Amino acid sequence: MPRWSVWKNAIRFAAVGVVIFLSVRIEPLESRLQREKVFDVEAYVNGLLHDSLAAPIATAPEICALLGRLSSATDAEWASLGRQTAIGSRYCFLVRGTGIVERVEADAVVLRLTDSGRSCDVRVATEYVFGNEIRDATGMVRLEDFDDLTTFNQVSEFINERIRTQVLPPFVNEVRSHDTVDVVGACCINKRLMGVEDVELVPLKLNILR
Amino acid sequence: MVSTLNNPWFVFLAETARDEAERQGYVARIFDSQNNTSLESNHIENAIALGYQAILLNATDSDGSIANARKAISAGIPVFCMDREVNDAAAATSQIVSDSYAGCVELGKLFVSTLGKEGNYVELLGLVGDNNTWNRSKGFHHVVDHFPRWRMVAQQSADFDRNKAMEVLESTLQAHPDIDAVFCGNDAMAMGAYQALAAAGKSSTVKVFGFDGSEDAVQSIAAGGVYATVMQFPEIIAKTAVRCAIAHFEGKTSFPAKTLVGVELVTPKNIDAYAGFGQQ
Repeated sequence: MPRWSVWKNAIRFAAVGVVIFLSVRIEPLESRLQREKVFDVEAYVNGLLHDSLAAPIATAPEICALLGRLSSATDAEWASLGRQTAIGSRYCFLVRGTGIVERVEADAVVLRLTDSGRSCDVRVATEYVFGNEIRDATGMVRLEDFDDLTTFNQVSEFINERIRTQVLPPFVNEVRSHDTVDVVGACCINKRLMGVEDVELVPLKLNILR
Repeated sequence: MVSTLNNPWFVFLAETARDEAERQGYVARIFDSQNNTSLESNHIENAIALGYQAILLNATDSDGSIANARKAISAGIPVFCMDREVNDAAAATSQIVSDSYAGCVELGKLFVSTLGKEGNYVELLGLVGDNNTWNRSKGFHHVVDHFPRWRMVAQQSADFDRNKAMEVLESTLQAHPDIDAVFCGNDAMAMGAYQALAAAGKSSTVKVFGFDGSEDAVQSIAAGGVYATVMQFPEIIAKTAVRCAIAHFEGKTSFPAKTLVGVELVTPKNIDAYAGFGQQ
């Protein structure tokens, strides 16, 4: 039989071993670096939608007035009114307005809006909300602030997910022709193709006034 | 330095960059890497030895070209990537790339809004080592995968090559004759896929979607062939890269890591507004 002191030493070594085992974690360097770099896109989008956008929404132009201005705007005016994240002819705008529902389609609601003495028809997307309209129209999400394109694109994915799951379902379930609707949203318009393509609004807020 | 001159889109990109550099009073030369990173490496060494002061690089492989680009950077020569990314910000002075992901999100929206919410489709991928291949595929799937009754019956690489795309689709049609659409990562593959469908008598029932805005794809859309493409603007990419190089010569040292160039959806509805390679 080993002596008690031998047992004591064995227990001590085992205890030290357990402490070392529990305090050291081995993982591949690559996954560690990856984990440390993870940017919380969801939290970023929450902050953007709940806090940062309040001011730009409050000063967003009314839709028909904006479309009227753009129809005769110079290049410099397009650049000052709209936002771009890529070189090209496509500009994005945050807009708001109140309109009457002309018709409810499978993938959109067509609103007739009147503001600043001007009327216009706008399609509000209710099905295919997948693009970068809102991200780009805010002017607050800049590529240079992100390490990579994937994360930059994820910002749009989270925004769109929020719209598809939280903004659209209650609206789509309730909306009927002739309803009056308050809308805040974003649209992107190609300067070169203005008039050729329909203006489609991606909604950020929708409120049926009854 | 261009990945391949075997595709008219890259020929246009390379020639536009060279012509613009010459127009600005510089000497420029086109190197064809023939989709081969070893050849690209030789070209970089030659360009350094010949005393070229900037490299406008259309990389052959997003990972495989990193070491090549780094060689130039180490030699003090700025590298401006055109259209194709390298996966290392330190390997390029700046990267000017099309917003492929956004373009394919738009293409995905068109796909489901045109064809409905169910069906079978084939995806033809480009070169698996190129980021554009995956950015385009991811953008498309980001939309289409939300519609679970759309089934991708086959996904295969055809290396951005027209003939390979034709061969791949011919054999895919043997196993899956009942498809509604083909999504292709570039127009060369879309043209090859369309050719295979025409040979099988299916070109009027299967819609083909491409990416690039090449001349033949634009003509095909106008003639009722390929259904849609995403127009890239190689002229803007090339001229922006040349402008960056000149700014570097003039002392500018800070450039954005990435600059996106917008893309536009080309459909039968707006085809009149487009010509090949983004020309109007």
